[in-house]
Amino acid sequence: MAKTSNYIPQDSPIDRMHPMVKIYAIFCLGLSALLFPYFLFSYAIVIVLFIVAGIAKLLKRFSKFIIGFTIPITIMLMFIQGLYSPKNETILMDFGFARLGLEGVVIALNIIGTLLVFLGTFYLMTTTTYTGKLVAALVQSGMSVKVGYLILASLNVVPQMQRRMSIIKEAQVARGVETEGGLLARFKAFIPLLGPVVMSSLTDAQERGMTLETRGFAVTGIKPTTYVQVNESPSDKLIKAILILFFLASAGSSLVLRFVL
Amino acid sequence: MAKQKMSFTQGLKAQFSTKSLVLIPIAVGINLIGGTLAATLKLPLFLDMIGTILSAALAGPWVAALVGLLTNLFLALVSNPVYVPYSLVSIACGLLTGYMIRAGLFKKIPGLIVTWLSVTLVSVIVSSTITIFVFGGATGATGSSVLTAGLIAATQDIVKSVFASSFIENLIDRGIAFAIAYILLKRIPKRFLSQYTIQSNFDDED
Repeated sequence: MAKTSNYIPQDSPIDRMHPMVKIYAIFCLGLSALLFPYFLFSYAIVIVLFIVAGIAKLLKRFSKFIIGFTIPITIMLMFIQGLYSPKNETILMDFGFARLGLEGVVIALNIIGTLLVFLGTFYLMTTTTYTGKLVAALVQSGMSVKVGYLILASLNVVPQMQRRMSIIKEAQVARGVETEGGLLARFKAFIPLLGPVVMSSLTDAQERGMTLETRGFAVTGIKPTTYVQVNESPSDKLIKAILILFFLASAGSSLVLRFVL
Repeated sequence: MAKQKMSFTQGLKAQFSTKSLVLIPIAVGINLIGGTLAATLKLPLFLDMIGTILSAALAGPWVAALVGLLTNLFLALVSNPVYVPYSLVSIACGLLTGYMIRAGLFKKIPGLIVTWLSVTLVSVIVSSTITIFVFGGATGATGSSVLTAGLIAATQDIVKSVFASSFIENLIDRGIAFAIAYILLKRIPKRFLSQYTIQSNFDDED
């Protein structure tokens, strides 16, 4: 029931990669896809992402995610932009009540391509990176330790609260609170269920605060160390350089394609 | 309570004490629990703003903004990356709620209604802008996409339809979230409230 992250532990080169490299990948590939004027470019990157997913041994899950995202949004955008975009001039098909325009279809394909690159790389990043390692890498590259704590603590607190809520739900049902039935009955159950969870969590927060203070969380002027260590290997550096070069090349060529030609 | 006037950065630092820092994950948790509870009770709502409102009342606007951001990042990590761009909506709502509570609007019911309506308006504007510019009209991930599509077919106007469907959805959802948060805030013991910086803004009785 309680799921704290998408991470699937697997021994693959993508899993061993430095988390910062994957973050670079999201931005370099995503922004390239956003800038480049022809949508086929984005779909080419998506094909590369499928190969990466194959290397990470996640091809099946990745395909499922991509298909689950693509089909509904394609239908919606073809409908919205394809039929009703104000830029439509060239008419591809006439349905009687509305006409499918070429310009709208191109807009829709552009949006879907860029989104697929961003969301695909993000999904691959979250499924192949242990969150502790990600936060350690972010702290190493200059993020505040406090922010790191916030991310990890949020991830840990949620399943805890979900467990607490299922206990409270059983207790309240035993007292006679109706959690099923008509809309109004279900709605009335909301406060008796949420109230105790919120109150007990707030007391819990107070205790956490005191515990952290006694362990020197707010001490300034010291160099904190992390339990999870992340090292950058030569291949990580190489991939990072390739990603940045790729971004510069595609950004440069999109400028030429958009403004010079 | 006589309080000295603090500069903006000092105020910001005072908001992010260790006590507020531990409150943030809890508030994110409350946001997500609200969502799951709404789903288990099969209510047609999200109700994922209760924690943001509570943290805005307890610890201030910037803490609430951070709660909103983290909630969306968490949703993106766990379920669907579509939520990342919408973190702007949560940040805006957190800030607005926080400043309105600080202005004393949570003391009486009419003020609560004003806060609710203005938060609804801001979230409609921000979320519709994101839906139109990032996703081109609909994400296909929520029920309101269908509503949007229906409205577009009827009115032939993408911008108006996205705004209308988002307005209906937000008005109901935010209203219930505010009502629940208000009831909960009234029930939090005074002893507990006294540890946070801006506790004097909504305890009107006695």
